[in-house]
Formats: sequence, C-alpha cells, structure tokens
Amino acid sequence: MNNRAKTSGHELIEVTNTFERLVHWLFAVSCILLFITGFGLMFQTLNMIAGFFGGYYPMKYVHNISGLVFVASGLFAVIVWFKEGTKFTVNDIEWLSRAGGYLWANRIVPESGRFNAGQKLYYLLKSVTWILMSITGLIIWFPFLFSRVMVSNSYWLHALGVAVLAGSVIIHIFLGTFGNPGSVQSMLGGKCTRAWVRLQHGRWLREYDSKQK
Amino acid sequence: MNEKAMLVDVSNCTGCRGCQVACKSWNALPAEQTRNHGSYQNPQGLSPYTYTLIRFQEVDDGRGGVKWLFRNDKCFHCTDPGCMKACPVPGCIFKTPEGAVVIDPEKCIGCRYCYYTCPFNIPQYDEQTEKMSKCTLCHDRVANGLIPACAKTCPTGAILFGNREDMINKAYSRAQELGGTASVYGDRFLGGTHVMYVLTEPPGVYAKLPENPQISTGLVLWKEVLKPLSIASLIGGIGACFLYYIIKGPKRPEFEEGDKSGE
Repeated sequence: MNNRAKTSGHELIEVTNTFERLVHWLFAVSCILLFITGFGLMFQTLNMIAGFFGGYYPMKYVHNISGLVFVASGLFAVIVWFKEGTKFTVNDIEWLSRAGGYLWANRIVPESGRFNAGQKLYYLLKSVTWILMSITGLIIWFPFLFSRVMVSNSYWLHALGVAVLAGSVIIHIFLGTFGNPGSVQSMLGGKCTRAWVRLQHGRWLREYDSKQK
Repeated sequence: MNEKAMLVDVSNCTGCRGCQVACKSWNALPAEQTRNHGSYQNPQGLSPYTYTLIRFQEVDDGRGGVKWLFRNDKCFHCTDPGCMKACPVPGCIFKTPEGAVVIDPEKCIGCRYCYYTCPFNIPQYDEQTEKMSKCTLCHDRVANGLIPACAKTCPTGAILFGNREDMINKAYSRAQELGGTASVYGDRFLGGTHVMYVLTEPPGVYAKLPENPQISTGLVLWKEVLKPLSIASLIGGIGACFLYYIIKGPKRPEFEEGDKSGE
C-alpha cells in the first residue's frame, strides 16, 4: 500500500495493445464515414454532404466501401474484447446502480477492472448494432439476393440502428475525451498515467502491480 | 391545377400490343430477345427497356370455357408515391403539375429503394447503367399538349387520357354500364393514382395487381419516425454531454503524491 502511494502518478502504464488500437481506429473511422455519408443519404436537406463527396453516386460508394471496413474491423472488435466485454460481476451491477458516479451523488464507485460496467454495456450495444447494421446494410447493397420482404424491412431496421448509435457514439466520444481527461491516451499510443489508471481502473491497477513484482 | 390521368378500360382492350410498340418507339427503347413460355405473354414482365406491356391471362369463365384477360400494365403515377418518399437524391424522382411521377436518370444512383418501396413493383434496375427506369406518363408529350404515346396509338380507345376529373367520371359511368363485377381501380388508394382502370373482373383476379396497394408500414416507420429520431439521438447526445460537462465537469485524476484520488 505504501509502495503504491509513493509511486509517481505521472508514471506511464500501457493499458491497451497495438492490435486493439488498430482495430478501434479502423472501426471508428469507418463508423464516422458511415455516419456522415449515411446522414447524407437519409436527409435530402443535407445535400452539402453529397457535394463534399462529389455527388450522390460517389457518396453511395464511400458508404458501401466504408461498410466493408466496418464489417471486417467490427468482427475483430467483437472478438478482441469478447471476454472482457461480456463478463459482468457483482461490482459491475453496483457500478451501474450508481450510473458510474457520473449522474447523481458523488463519484465513489466500485473499482473497475480494465473495462468498467459502462464500457461493457457499450461493448454489447456495439456488438448488437454491428450485427444489425452489417446484415441490413449488405441486404440493402445486394437486394437481388434476398426476398422483397427482407429488403424493405432492412431499410427501417438500418435506420433504427442509426437512431440507437448516433447518441451512444457521441457519448462514447465525449467520455473518452473531454469527460475523462487522460483517457484518450489509451487509444493514442496506449499509455496512460498511473493516476488516471488508479481513478478509472483501480482493480486492474492492483492486478497490474502484483504482476510487476 | 391541370391534373391529368389515364384511364385503361380493359373491356375495350383487344390485346394488340400497339401500346407496347408505341411506348418503345416514343421512348427510343430497344427491343429485347424474348422466349416463348407457353402463353401469349410476351415479354414476361417490365424491364428497364419495357415501360408498359399487356398482361395476358386465361381464366375459367365458369361455363367450362376459357376467358382472356388483357391488362395494360405500367406505373400508376401515385399522388402519394412510395418511390419518391424513399429516394435519397433530391429531385431524382419528381412530380409534374399534370401528376406524372418521373425518375431523372441523370440523378439516379441505382440504390433501388424505389423498386422495393413501390406498392406495384414498377421501377426497373438496369445492370449496365446502374439506373432505374419506368413509365414517365410521357410527361414530355403531355407538357406540350399531346397525349401519351400508348393512348395515342390505342386503336380501340381502351387507353384514354384527359383531365383527371373527367376520367374518373368516365370510369364510373363505364363500370356501371358494364355492370356485374366491373369496378373502378385507382381513384382512391395512394392519394389517387394517375393511371386508373375499369376492370371487368374483381381486382384479385388480375396478375400482378395488388387488391389493396399501400405505402408499407416499414417505409412510414423509416421516413416518419426513425429519420427524425436519429437526428434527435444525435442532438440529444451532444446536448446531454454538454450539460454534463458544464454541470458536473470532467472526472480528473489526482496527481499529488500519496493522494488517494477517486475515493
């Protein structure tokens, strides 16, 4: 305990590996491109987006090709974080009942492992929507391979995915940047300060320290 | 408003297919190689190069014999068109003052949304050009005071074209005249279509003719509910984050030595 307290809060600890960061950013960039072009395809009033991509036809292809990157990188994302993303503990339930200390009362929450309960929920949400968007997206792209009922239902299901994702992705970006200073480093180089890890992922830090000895 | 409409009186149709030829001629559409499938139906259906065709049917006449049905099939030019609702490109599918629903091939990106949201499965996809096409109600002719090519060429007066009100009146008086199972098709659903029929048989008897065509619930859900909801989700997300940031502020780690931050 004494030893831990004396360690500098500025010490850098690697919290993610290169593969995770690569998968994250491939997935992230494809998501953002899909959002921009998708909103351009859904809202005729946003025709300046099509203008930016050189017209509706090229924009459709940017959407489709980004979709392929989304399907592939999403598959890796689902696999890479499967173990940590799906394992909920008693602590996680406590964490969730306090909304991670974000919304009400003070910020005292049970110590988290490498993923806190909110991140696990986000993992599940992204996995489910990844399946939904990939399947409906491919049906919309190659409609002649499917029945008419499947195609016409894919349109609204694809839009349902957008409605779910738009807000949650915004919150994800906010929590990874402005909401929790120091967090963005976990996806940029992967090294975060000891003080940040202690605050955000206390249980994981203790495991990390015990492994170092 | 100079709203026009086409009235197809199937009781007057002799199945000559002059309309098919006139349509190809006016729209400069190439002929297609077709195969005999054992009936007079030729070609089998609409295609990117066939905007209209006669649908042939042989049905039991109830007296041990066979009755022939001819129906000139084409786009219905709905007042409330599903295709136009679904199309992502502004101005690609548009309505003319006369009531025609037209696809502008220059703007079409070949997404095929219009085909899958059309209650009648009308727009056709061309693999070569990656564009959709369908009957234009000869809007170029109509804008210049002419009547559509198919109506112009029809030798029996089975295809009529004129002011929509007149066509509706004509349809009802003709259906009454014919009596029996004769009915008017097209004046009521989808806001009223601009191609209507006087049918001699109940609508369900005719091939590829839906009895109760309507905009699908999925399309309404997509365009009326989920579309605004996705914008609400985006703006709501941004708003919630901003509020959180100004009310509670960021969760900063403590760097002071020995400090048990976060507790």
